[in-house]
Amino acid sequence: MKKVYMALVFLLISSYAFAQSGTEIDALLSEGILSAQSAARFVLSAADKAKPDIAPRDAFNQAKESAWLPDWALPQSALNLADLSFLIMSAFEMKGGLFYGMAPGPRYAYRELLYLRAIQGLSDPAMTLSGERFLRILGRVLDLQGGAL
Amino acid sequence: MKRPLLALALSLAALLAYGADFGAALGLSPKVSEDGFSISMGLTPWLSSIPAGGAGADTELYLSAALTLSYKDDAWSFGFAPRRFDILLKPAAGTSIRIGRQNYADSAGMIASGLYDGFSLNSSWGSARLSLASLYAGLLDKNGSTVVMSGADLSERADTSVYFAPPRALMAASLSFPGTVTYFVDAIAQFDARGSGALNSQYLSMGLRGSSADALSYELALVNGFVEEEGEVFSYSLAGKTSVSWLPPGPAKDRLYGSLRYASGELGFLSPYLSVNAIPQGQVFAPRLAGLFVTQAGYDTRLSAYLSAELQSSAFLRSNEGGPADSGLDPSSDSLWLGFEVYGALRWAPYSDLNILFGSGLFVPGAAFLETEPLRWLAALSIVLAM
Repeated sequence: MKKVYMALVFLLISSYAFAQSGTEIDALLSEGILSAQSAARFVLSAADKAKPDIAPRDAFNQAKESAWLPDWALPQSALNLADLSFLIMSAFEMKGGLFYGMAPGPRYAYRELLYLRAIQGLSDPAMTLSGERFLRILGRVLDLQGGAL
Repeated sequence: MKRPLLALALSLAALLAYGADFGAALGLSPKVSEDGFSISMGLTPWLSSIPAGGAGADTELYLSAALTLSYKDDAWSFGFAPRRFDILLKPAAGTSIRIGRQNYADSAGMIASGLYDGFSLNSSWGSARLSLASLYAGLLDKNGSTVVMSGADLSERADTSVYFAPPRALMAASLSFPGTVTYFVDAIAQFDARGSGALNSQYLSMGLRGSSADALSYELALVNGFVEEEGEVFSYSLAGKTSVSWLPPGPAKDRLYGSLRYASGELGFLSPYLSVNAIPQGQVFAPRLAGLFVTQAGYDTRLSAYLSAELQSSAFLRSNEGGPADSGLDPSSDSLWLGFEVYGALRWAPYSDLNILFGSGLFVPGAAFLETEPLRWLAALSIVLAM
């Protein structure tokens, strides 16, 4: 069942013209804890902020230079839900709430993705996540992007 | 006194160290009606934490409380009460247990609805879903609870020396079969913890809800109620509802809906239906569901990305005996016609954390009311800012 579900997620993501190879997706799905460079690699290309075949390290550097990742982050650092939310909100240029507009950052980015139901299930901002959960979140964001965002 | 506070502070610090989300909802609700002006301001701080942390988390802690400042009938009042305050455990896939102060609602939505203390369990059982709950109302702030069933409950509600809601316990079991059409059966027993003059009740409800591909959804429910009051004969009552809603095709997310709700009064072998919580049936005229027949129709429309509107009308009929109590009713009238109301609302949500609702309604009393009974109306604003 899990394989079928992941195949559907993969299909959804593929439909937005991702150019990641199956090997990369497999590698991401096998990540027990999502790293900053993997998150940057997939988010930036999904948001058309980088070439589809950008290397993870280059995507990380680009996200870091744009201040979309925390200062302390290293390419292999585990990314938590709040920092991932800020990376997604920034890359996709999402509007966010009143407080996000006044103080853009991980805290209110996380709230916005919760509100939009892009983040589902048990969660807190400091929680790390697996590559599989990251793909589901990114899939929902892409789905929302096709709507009104 | 210092030790418990220190323990609480250390516990919260430990939770925050693990990683917790926290915030507050700030609300402002002024209201004008034929009864005058009232306003309520509230601050609801909350904290949510997953103590286990990490990707495989299976426990969540949620704490919240409400601070309210209200002005009504030329008097200010201040209130503080814990609100949802629970821990959620997921011991196995498809199974969850919630312990603490939590929201509960029966499947039919006609028996009990609101905050209770206790525990509840939800579990998948093959293609069925089983829910069990053991809950208690007597530790809730009475102003934050709508549990009212007997004269004793009403007396305690009016007694300023009583802080808590009526001491009533609920044992509930629900079995549902989710699908395109979901079928459900609920069995609920309510026990009055007061020794003398206790009023106990039991409910057996069944129903279904479903939706079809062309955006039509429907619901049908029937509740059998049994009430045992000390010194009174055992009584049987009935309540039911049916509702339909339709999403017209098109880009706008409009919704047309209608419903019929019925609760028995004193008629033949039937007695007045008595729910555990007083669940209001209207916006301006808000009787509880007892000796009542209510028809409702409404339309929701989305005017823009941030603005939506709703128009709703309701008509109320009562049974000859055992209908709703209201100071404006004519004791000499045997008319069943209670009247009708029209209610409209505009909701503006320019941001995900700011929600502004303006609602206004008018109730036209029917022949069951005194001839001198004036029109009832209200205009209310509700502003909620999530911080």
